[in-house]
Amino acid sequence: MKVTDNSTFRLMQTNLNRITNDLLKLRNQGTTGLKFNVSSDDPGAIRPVLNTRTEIQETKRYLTTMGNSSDRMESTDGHLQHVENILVRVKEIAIHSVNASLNQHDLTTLADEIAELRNELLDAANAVVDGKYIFAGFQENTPPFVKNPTYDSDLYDVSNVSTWPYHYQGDHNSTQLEITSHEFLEVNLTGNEVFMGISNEIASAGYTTPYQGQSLTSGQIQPNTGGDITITPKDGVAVTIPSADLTDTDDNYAGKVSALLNQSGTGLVSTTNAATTNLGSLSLTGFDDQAGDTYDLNISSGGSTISVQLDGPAGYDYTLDGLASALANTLPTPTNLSSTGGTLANGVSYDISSGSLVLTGPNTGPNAGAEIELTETITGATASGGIGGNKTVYGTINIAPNSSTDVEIAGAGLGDLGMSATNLSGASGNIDLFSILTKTEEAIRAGNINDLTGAGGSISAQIKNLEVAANQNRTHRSTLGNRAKRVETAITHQEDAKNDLKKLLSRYQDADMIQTYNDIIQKELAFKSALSITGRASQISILDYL
Amino acid sequence: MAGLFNALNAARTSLEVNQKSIEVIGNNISNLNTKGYSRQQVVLETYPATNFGDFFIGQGVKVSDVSRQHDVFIEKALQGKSADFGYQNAQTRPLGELEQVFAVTNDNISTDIDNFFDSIHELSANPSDLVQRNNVILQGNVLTTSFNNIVKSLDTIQENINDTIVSEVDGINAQLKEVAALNDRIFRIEIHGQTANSARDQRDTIIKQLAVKIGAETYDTENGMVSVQLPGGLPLVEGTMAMSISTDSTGSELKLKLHAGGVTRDLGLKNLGGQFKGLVEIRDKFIPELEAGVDKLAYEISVQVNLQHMAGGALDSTTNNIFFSMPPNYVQSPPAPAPTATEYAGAARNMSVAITDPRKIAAANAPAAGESVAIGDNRNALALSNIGANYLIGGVDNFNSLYGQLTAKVGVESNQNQLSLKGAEDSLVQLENFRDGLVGVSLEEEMISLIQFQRGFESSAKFLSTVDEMMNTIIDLKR
Repeated sequence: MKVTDNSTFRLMQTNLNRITNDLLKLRNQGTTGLKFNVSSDDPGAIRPVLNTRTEIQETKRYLTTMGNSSDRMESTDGHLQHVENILVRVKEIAIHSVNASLNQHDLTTLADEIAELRNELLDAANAVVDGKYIFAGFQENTPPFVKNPTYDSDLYDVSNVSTWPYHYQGDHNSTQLEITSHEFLEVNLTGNEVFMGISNEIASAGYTTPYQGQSLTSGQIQPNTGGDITITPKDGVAVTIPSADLTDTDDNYAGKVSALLNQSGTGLVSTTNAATTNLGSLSLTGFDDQAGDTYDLNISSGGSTISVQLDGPAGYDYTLDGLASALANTLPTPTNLSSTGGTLANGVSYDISSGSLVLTGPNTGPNAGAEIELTETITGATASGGIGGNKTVYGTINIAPNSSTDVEIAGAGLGDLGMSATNLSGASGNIDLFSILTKTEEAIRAGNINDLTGAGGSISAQIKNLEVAANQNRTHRSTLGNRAKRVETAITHQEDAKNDLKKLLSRYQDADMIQTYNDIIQKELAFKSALSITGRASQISILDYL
Repeated sequence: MAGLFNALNAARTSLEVNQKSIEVIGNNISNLNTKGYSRQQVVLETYPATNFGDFFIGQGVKVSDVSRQHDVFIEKALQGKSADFGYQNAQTRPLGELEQVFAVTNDNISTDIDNFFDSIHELSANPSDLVQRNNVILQGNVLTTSFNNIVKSLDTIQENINDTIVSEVDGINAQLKEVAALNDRIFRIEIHGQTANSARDQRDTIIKQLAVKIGAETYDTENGMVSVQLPGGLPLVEGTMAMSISTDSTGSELKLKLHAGGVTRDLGLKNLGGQFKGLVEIRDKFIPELEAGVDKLAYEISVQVNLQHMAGGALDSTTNNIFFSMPPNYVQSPPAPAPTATEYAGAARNMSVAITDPRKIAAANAPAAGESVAIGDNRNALALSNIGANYLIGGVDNFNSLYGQLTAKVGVESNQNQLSLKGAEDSLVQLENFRDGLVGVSLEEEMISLIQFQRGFESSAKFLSTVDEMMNTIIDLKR
């Protein structure tokens, strides 16, 4: 086998070609700084690179959106700060106006100032940021609040928004922005929540019950407590239903009333404006009546009405009737169990004809504002297996709109029942700012300090309401503050994520420059030696020796 | 004297033979760089000896043949490797172009998809802004144009492949004719007992080129002829008869036909080898697969965006507006079975933005009956912007990963091709060097042979002058 010149040169040329091609590639890497220029460079890196690029772009968008949200929330907060100042000033004026030494002229001046402040509040409510009304929900091109042209202070009804001094033209929709993947943040506050105190849920249902107190809901209830039940009205005669009666019969209503409230394996849930708080499940295990465990349901009725609704499956015939009968049995002289209405010893009347149990406290007389107190005591043997049977009952206690009625759950044995003492506040804590300002103005103008039924519902009542209003405003501000804080942390997080993603992308597509330089130097060396060898190959020839 | 005359004659043959040998060596050196040249060699033979009493005395030397060195095994191996090399080499360029079409740099469809959904995301923060609404339409246009361009680029690559094939066909036909002619020439020369060295070299070279181009295979027949055929067995050259290949283009399609003795046959992928196989495979298999993938992507984007868009409400409170034009073969899919290749077809080529009025972009949820859209409503924009990340084609890939798959397909193919090409090139170079080692011209060898025959010539001349002197001596005897 011989080596011909052709072989030598062919081999050298092939190798030189290869080296120059490699060098071209390396130099391309060196000048672009990228090692991933075409898909064949690293087919496995394509998906991660594309995905990472998408994520980087999304992260950038999230950061922009979050900056945008921050700005909006900041300016919203500025306006809420202004609202706070207005409310503080109005309260100052109201307190000042209680001063007996003021004459009508002074009162008119103060009332006029409040009217001015009301206009200022209107300005704040109609605030515009970036060409949009920020408190108008989705109706960002409509001024959210306008004066009610037909407002009449005599026709004012807290339960009917159309009689309120200012009308809301926005809607109840909150704008959500995607601040991180799949996390949507509400960036606005709607006018109905901030200024009218009506939650978005109620607003979406058409403002029918503008305010709602807290409600208490029990979950599944199965009767048969395994013990006697005593219901004791305040200053009344205790009614005991023996455990023998606590079977699923038509007349063991009280047991079922009791069962409604303290059941094994059930949950009592209180809801405040749709914010749900689980009170935990009830268990009769450990309940010891011998040790004097009691369970109270106290309803303080300050002249307002509360209603108790019981929901049960069809065929379960005790619900409302049962509650009424239980109450009837607590009367000083127990009356007919089938009574659908009556007046309790303390002047509180009850009625089930409307489909709910309606308790009405006396407005007048010696018992005006009296409390209705129902105390249930479970007596008898220690309960073991809880309540038997197979029926299911649901119950809700609703407190009348924005009343001062409170429901108190208390008792020595509550802990054994798996409950803790709870106060359900009848006040929703929500209020229409414009109404309050209007009413305060009216009350001051009329100099009505204490008369609840007089003009503006009395200055003293409005001072209380102003406090509620200020709290309402602060609640929303802090909600907004929390969201702003969330955005702040999310921005930091996304910045980090962006850096990490960029690092990841860089690992896939960027050339390691030191490595590249090294490779280039290495290849250049190979190229040089290949060239030199090629040159030398032609220097040696047999012809030189002949 | 008769003996001396014989010796004189022997010296003459020797001079002639050495001279002829030097001529052959000269020819070898001249063809040092001729492609496909096989080293030639004089075959020497003694003249029949004459009977001289009890023994035979040689009468000199003669050239019986000028033969070429040849190795059938290597030639066949070279042919096979040439076909491999041609196959891989032909794919390199179109694959390189495809890599540009399915780019991985920032400028690709994936970025356009991201930008499009990003513009909707941006709109969601500011749904009433007409400028941003316009931007969504603009980004939609960029996206659709990219899709249209990808399909056009694929068309162009296919057309380029067709052009390459058409331009090669004439050359191939000429080469087929030449092989037939060479068959004839070799037959005519060799029937007289001579060796048609250069004709055979030439034929080997052409056959190798044919192997590169169409993967031609050969087998030797009698009379020194070769038959050339396609990988599938269809004949190209039969003895002295050459078939011809023609191209038949209808519209954008190009078909290859073989005319063999009055019969015309279509040449499919299985009949081809070498370059043509590589090209046709890219054209008829690889590119259509990619196009189907791009169609699928375009179809899914159009349909999914449209469905969500139709569900939303525009600024003018209209609903059921489409954003992209519906793909030409769109069939309302759910609850019917998932779309197939038939529905996907043509989606990328015909993709366009149907919406022109920015107010028609459905950023809001559809309004309830009798109500109108609130301008700040961004709920549908949020839903739209999330299609890109959330919608899974066939429950597996989102849009970008489908594009990633297509790109990876090109990348893997191209990567594979680069490796295979390197391998094929390596083994081709190795075989060629091997062939050179066996039958090539080595300058050293030729130089040494040159010296050898020069010395032979010199010694023959010396011998001649010696005989001459001897004859003089004899003539001088009579004085």
